[in-house]
Amino acid sequence: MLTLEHVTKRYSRRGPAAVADVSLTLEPGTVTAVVGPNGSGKTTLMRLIAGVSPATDGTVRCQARSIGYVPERFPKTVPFTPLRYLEHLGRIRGLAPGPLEADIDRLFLRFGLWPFATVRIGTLSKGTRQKVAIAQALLGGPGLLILDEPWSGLDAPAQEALTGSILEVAAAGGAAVVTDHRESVVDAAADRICRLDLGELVADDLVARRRDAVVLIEVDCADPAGAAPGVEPLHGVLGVRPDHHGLRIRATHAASNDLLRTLLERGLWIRRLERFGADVDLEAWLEEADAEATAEAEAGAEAEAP
Amino acid sequence: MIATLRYTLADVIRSNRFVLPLLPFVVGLPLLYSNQSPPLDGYAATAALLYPVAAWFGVAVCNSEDEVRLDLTVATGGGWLPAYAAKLATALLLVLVLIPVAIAYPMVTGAFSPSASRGDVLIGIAAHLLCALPGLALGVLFSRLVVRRQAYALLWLLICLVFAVPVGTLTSSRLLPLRLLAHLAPPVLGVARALSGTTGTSGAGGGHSVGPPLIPDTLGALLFCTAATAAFLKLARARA
Repeated sequence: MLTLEHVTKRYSRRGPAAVADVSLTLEPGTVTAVVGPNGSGKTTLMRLIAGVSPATDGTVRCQARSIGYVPERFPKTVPFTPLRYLEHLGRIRGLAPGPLEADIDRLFLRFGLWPFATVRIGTLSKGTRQKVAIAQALLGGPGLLILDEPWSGLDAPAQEALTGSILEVAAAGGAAVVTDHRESVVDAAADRICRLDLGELVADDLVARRRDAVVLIEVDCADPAGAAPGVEPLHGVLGVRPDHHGLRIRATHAASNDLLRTLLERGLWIRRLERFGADVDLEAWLEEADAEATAEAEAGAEAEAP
Repeated sequence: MIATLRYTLADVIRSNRFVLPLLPFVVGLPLLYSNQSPPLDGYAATAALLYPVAAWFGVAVCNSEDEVRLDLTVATGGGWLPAYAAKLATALLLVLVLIPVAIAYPMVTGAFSPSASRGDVLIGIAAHLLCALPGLALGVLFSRLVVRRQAYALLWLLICLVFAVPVGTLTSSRLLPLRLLAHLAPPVLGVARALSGTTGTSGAGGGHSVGPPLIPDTLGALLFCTAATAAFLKLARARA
């Protein structure tokens, strides 16, 4: 999707390099996080990737059909309302009026922007302006999404919507790159974490994908064997094992929120909820746990017998 | 490209960036025609007025978006060229709107004596273009897109605008470089000299031909505008 080869950026001829000899490839379908302390060159790297700033040295190759870019801070000086601004940027992106209108509606609903749609951007709060910045980047489903500290100032629902949007871009075969100085935040979405320090790429690690993780949900119910067939066809369910008190459900992490809601609506009591990495074979783990429990029960029964 | 142009134009209009450079034009036009004058004298004066006004329009349009917003426009449009070209085109469009106003104003208010012929109008349009386009080309070179520190940039723009005028008169200098430079410089005085002293093409044999003296000025101005636009694009890109 995008390749940086030995890219260096200096803002003045003799000044220090803001980004020094960085080589990086963003693969389609992945989310890359760039982390590092203040002044480590994250924003400069994002501007190089977005193609808004030319590299002093090295090459930047981009094959994305369209780029969505969220700058570190969205300016107050925009003389438009969010609606007009997104209409203009959508047209610049080459979207036809019909699909553009539908896309704006979808994004405004998702980020709760409709109440502010006709208010001048300069008078909006910082968080709302950030939502406008994110919405414009997501217009038309970008092939490459570049987000510079996008979570700052966002409320919890918008944070969740943003994480969902990033994953959607990756799921549609696009690439996303996101910076943040708090690693815990980027950890939620990233496949890969690149660490910058004083403009140099000091670490580049693949991380276990949290979105491929599985969850174990244990619920209490009166008739486990009867309830199991009703749970199995639900979205995201990988397997269901009835036990003495209820059900043990394995499900994908991505679908777990919706699944939990459905289970609660059906009047089931959640007894246990745990997340496991994608590398854990939960089926085998459960069987082992079952065997142990059976052995313990037998031992207990034997101890009680005399 | 059309979408970027529409966006840039809407931005300049909604942010009221066009108001300040428009002021000297709006105030200057009635002042220059406070007395009745021959058509070409009047056009020579308003063409000269348009020279700094166009330069100011160039700066105002290029400075309209702040740096972050320009980044967004560039990233969204898929390259820097559409965004920068839209700025040039918007400034050009606004300046081109002023020329018919400057041409029509004295005719509507009856400030010409004798009244202007069709030939006067054509020469007037050429004269305004010859002054406005080099002014605009000079202006964008000192915008924030090229020079980061605007306080210095505007001072230097003023100096260049003023000193380019006498340089344009050195066309008969003995030194070849000076002669070349004179032809390249905005032909404000050349236009004024060619137009003044004539009674207009309608004058009964009193006028001399205006066309021939303007030909080298036109070629020089075209060359200057091309070079300045190329320099603007190159410098603005390097500075991004």
